[in-house]
Amino acid sequence: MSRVVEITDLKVYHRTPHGPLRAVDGVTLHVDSGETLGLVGESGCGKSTLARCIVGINRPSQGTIALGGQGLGSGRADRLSRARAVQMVFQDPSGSLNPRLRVGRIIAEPLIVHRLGSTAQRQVRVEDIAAQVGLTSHHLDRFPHELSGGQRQRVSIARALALEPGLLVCDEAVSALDVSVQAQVLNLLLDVQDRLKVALLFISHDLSVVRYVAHRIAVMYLGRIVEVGPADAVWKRRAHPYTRALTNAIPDEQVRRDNIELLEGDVPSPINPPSGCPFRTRCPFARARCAEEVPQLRDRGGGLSVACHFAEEIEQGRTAEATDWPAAVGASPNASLTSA
Amino acid sequence: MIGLATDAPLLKVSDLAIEYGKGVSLMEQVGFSVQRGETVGLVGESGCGKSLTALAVMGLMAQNLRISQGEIELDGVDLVQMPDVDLRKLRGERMAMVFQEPMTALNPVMTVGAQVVEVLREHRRMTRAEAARRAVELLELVRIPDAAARFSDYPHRLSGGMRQRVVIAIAIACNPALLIADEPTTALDVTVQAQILQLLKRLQRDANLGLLFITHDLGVVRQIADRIVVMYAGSVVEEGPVDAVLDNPRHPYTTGLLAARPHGSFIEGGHRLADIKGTVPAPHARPTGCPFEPRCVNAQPDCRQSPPPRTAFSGDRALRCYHPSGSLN
Repeated sequence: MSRVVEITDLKVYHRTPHGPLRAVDGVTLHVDSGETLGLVGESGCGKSTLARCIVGINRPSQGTIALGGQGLGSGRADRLSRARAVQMVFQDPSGSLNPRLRVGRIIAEPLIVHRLGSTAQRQVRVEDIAAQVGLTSHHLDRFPHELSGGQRQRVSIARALALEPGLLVCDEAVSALDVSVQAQVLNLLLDVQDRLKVALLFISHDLSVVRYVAHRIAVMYLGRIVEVGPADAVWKRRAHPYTRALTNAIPDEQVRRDNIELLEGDVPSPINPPSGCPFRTRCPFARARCAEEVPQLRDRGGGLSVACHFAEEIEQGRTAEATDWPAAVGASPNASLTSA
Repeated sequence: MIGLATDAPLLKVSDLAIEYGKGVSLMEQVGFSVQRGETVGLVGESGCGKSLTALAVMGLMAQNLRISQGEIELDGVDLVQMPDVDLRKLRGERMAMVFQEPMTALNPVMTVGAQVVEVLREHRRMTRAEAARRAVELLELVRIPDAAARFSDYPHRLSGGMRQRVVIAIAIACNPALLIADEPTTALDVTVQAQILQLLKRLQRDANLGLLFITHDLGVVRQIADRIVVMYAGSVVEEGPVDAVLDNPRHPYTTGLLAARPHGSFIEGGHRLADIKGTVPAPHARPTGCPFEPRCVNAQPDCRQSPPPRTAFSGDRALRCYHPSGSLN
């Protein structure tokens, strides 16, 4: 299977008066053609910065991004070929659509920039894409403010598909939508992927949405990938304590919880990250070694890689229901809310 | 604490209608109650009127809106007719509110301690020193680590979760009987959301608060609420005990909302999410019959005639629907 994007040891540091802010701190990741990679993490973990590097909005400080096998520079030709390889759907459709352009023109914009087809040909193409995302021709004469949130997100998706990219980066693309509309847009993305075989990098803070759409899931914390593997393995094995905490925090009675306590506190500042493992300050399993040594992603079998010194122990502890864990682990089976 | 009739519900909203401009109806016939020590979850999608209901109770509605009908009673006293000066005394004292976005709810140029002190000194005869001592206690009560040091921090120095804790501390400063929380965890990360839900639950239990919890998230409502009130396009469509309603929803809208939540895996199971077709109608374009009729899978011609009346069933449940889903018992 060919790779639509291959990211190698990507680092994005921002200069601040208090020292470098490590937004992305050594990420290696790839997306295969036609697959959906779900990227999940809390605010400030660097997932959006990573997305913006892939589409070329942000520049990495170090590391490489190869799109369709090619590394890309920043000249005009490079920018255009990057735009044909990867497109982005943003979280807020009202902020990412030009309020003064009609919907038809918004969808045609990429074709115009890339000088593709005659006006008449573009018109046909725009109507075709609009139909693919469930918009009718009367929507094309409207302005974005005349559409509902869900329809605006369809316009964003249509615009992103205009150049037939191999990869669509969806950064919290359904997070601002109501649940009934969110379901419509998720179904649309799955349809589009099925029809056009486009790969998706689906970024969200919501693990249950990511689990629904993704073939593989990568979990990010403080600029690093802490776990990556097949969606089912990440969801069920919960080999990294952070993945476990994220799953336990999902407010859904159908999601199985295990006896781990609620995470204390907030994500530490990326300006002054903890030594060793970035998660150790909130981790109920943390020990001395975690402060000294940065855990690297290790193969745990079945395609799953986990960056935790004690991944074996944590994973086995769940399957065996053994409670030979450190004292921080709660005793009640539903510790997430019942334990005060 | 003077309650006129102790067996009356803490908050009783009945037949509430709110209008905008020249008679555009934003909500009609909205009614529900909150008992002492009870958590009521008010759920629905954007534009259904759930936040407006909260603002109406608090007497904080925008100037261009007006209550055209109905009562809002707190401890048996009608708030709709109450003069503004009296409402001001109740707000913060008997009822308080936690907003969605803690950064905009806090004053960015006042320290968090001063903002807690402000409420205390407004409603209680306290010296500055007493109020400051009490403020630190409150910050400790909402589990802000190192509260005495955080007292003199400005809001921007705190994380989102800590800011929301400060907003909660301000809300409970004067021991209100009713706490309204409008999407208090929506702007927060899931792990922080879980912490805040746990905190609200504890405070509610310890102080026997009546809690009106507004959210769009059915999972959150199941965790925190005793009863649920589902709103759609300005009316209450279904209400009842939270487990009964969510395990056996009868209104097609409630059923649709539950089915639309992402669950399982499309990649493995191959099931599509059951979306609700169409979108919520704008207030001026609502249908004359049942507001949900244009999007409803059970819709029949009679749904277009008139809005369905409220039908009570199973003792403590109620529904507005001519053709409910699920079993009839």
